[in-house]
Amino acid sequence: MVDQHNDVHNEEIPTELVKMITQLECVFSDTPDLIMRKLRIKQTGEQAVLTYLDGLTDKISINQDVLRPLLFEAGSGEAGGELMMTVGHIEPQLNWSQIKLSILQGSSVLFVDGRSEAYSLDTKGWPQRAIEDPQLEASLKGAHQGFVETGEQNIALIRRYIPNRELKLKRLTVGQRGQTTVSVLYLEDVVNPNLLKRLIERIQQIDVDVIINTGELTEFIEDSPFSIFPQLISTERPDAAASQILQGRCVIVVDRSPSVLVTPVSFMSFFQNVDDYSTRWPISTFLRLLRLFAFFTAAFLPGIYIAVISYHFEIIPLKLLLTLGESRGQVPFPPFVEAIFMEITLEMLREAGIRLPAPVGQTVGIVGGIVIGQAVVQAGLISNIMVIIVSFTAISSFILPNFDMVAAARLIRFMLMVLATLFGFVGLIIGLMIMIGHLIALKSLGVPYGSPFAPVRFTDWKDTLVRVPLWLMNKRPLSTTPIQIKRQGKSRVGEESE
Amino acid sequence: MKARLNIALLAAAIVCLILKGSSDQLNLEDSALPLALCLDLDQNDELHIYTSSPVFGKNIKKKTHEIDVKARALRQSRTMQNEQSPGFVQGRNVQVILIGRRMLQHKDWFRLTDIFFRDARNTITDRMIAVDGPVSEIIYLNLEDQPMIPSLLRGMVDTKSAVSETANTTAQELRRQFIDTGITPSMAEIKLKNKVILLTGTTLLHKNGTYAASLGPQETVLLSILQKKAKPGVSFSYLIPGQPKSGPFETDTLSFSAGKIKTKIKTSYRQGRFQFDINIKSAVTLSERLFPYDVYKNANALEQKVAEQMEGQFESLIAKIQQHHIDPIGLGLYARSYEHKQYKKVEDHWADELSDAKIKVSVDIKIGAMGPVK
Repeated sequence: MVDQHNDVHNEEIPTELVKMITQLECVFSDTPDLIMRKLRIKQTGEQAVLTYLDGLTDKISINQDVLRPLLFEAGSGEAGGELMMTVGHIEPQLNWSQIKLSILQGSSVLFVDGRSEAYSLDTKGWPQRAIEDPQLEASLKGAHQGFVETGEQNIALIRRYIPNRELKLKRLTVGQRGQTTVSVLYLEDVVNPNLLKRLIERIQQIDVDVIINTGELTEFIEDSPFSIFPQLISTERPDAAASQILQGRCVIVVDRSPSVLVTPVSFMSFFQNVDDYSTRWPISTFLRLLRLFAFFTAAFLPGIYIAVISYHFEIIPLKLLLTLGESRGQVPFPPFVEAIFMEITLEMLREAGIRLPAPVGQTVGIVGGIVIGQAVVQAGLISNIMVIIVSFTAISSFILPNFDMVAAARLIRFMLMVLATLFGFVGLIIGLMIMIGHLIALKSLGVPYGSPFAPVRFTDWKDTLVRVPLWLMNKRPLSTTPIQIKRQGKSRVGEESE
Repeated sequence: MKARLNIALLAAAIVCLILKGSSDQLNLEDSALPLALCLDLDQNDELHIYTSSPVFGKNIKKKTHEIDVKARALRQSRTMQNEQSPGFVQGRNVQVILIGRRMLQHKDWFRLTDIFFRDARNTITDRMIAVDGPVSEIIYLNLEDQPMIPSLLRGMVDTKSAVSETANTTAQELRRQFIDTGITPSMAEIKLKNKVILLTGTTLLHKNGTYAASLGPQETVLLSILQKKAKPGVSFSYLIPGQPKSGPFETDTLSFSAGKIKTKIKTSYRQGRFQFDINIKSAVTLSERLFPYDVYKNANALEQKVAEQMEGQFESLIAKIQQHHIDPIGLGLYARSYEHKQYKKVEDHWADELSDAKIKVSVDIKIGAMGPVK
């Protein structure tokens, strides 16, 4: 964090324009995109210089709202008088570090000869992506707006869902060099103040160069950094973020990152999805159970295969035993090698599919389909049951709504495969016990991760395995320890009495 | 600090686990899996142990591999079997256990099966089958138009026992029947006739394991009714007396399938002997009636005749049981529950006591449906 120009950091702004320009040139040496426009203000007759970084500022705004009124509008004519500009936000700045920061963040700064304060003008306008459909979290019935890379816009997107004065925002700056704006959004009359305090303290403690995106922030603020389970949900859907805020959670918006973080969350939160609340409740209940089943399938199935083939083939039904024996008889590798070969192929195909550009990506699918589906079996390298198992695990991991949880399941799968090779079903059960024990011990922002199952909170069960109708979910989840528990009144009471 | 310690402990544990590894790992393809295990005596009364294992491979024409060893006991035979097979012989997937008739002529053969229960790796749900004849004939029978012998036999026993035409006795169940004083063992029976395997019914054994008698399929159905094991759907066929015959056709035949069968057994001890009053109730559906009869009006008379015939059958079955001094029905279990004192006195020779008992069977048949034609 060595700054060559420490000497000018907190110095006051020199009143003479020439001195100021030399100092600016000194601070921003080798910065050719720094524009310094000298001008004479018609309103007061003073000499001035307008400084901004080309590219980070909105040119139209500078031309129309700053330069045009300063150059052509007649004013009082007295030096030191009020400057009239049509910019929304004008802030007088007194010291250098502030000025430097506002220039670097896209504001333009106006220095006026003879004045001890400079004016930072909000003319921010950097290259921006339009708001698009969320890419990772597609939804059938939800909104089609996803977060973008500008923090203010993301906050605005959330505010659209909660136009309430209790929606508060704590703004923090993280990163010495990056100066990333991190905003914490919460409902003041709902969220537990202790949780909020804990979260803010954790963010304030971070001492790094820069936070590039939410994933990096996660590593600094999560409770158990050595766990393989995600302890914060990252979402790119404003509707999902808004609904989490309403449940008493905090949402962390990191400027320049197209997703936001939700905390505190529990294990079951990763199996919920915005669409769950807009489809009919029996269907979303079915989907919940399907996802849980898929999680355990994705984690356990190859392990079970290995355990059965290596230790417990007495449990295979006779007809399957004959087919399995037939196809295993030709495979030259032990089941562990067979399984790990296929699982690694699958992981590589998946990874390749993410990184490759779309036109090449199709080739991966075809090659993978042929390799996994046909060739390995015909060549006698892999048994056809193994192919079915790999496809089944792949499909299972695709239906989970949260990518981080899928990643955890994938890692667990490999550990369980090793345990199954060493100890068969005993190993798998030990693995399951360790996993459950870990899930129970885990905390997200100090709140139990296993809630509402461990600790048992029956009132929260209505949005876990079963998603009860919305008009019965009258309380906010207790797992977030909200200070206002009541969420809604009895909406359908009239009809029930009929 | 605590986290580091935990990680160190975890790492140490993992290393220990890997070093320990597991000694009983055996891959499916490295083992030979007998699906049928057969015990029999040859002409010189020497014990032979046969196994039939599937052979996996595309280019092999014969799908099973049979091994015949002379041995004293089952585990002791394994080494000899290993000598002849491509993998380690494992008793985990045995589907059927065949016992030859010559074995059944000697008592205490069941002690040989101790390994099924003492070595927990072995399955105990394998079906026990008695062979009327030498086992070697069946195990070496390589039928081209049938699945391999073990699956064929297992399939036969499972499907036929579903309609109560044979006994579905697992190794574990047979052990219970041997140990429980109130019942004598019974198991499925097969026979080879002109190179065709026939499931002929049930073999009944004495308490010491020797052969007592055989029951045909229809008798087995009756036995399972007495055992309260008969499932709805068992079928009966009778010739009704007093109905006209027409030429070579037995047009006096009446067939029906029973609905839910209720068997009530009343146990008492009178005049120095046990007495069992067995009442069987069922609503039946006519499935075949070859003679003209107005069932709608005269159902009672027909029911009466059928019931008489059934009672006759039950009586002859019970006579057979009493004559052979066995108790495959398990009437001893009722005696033990309801007349405990008396039972305890005769516990050790219950089957002999039963042969002296008075057993009465009454049948109530109701025709519930007569089919969609008049």
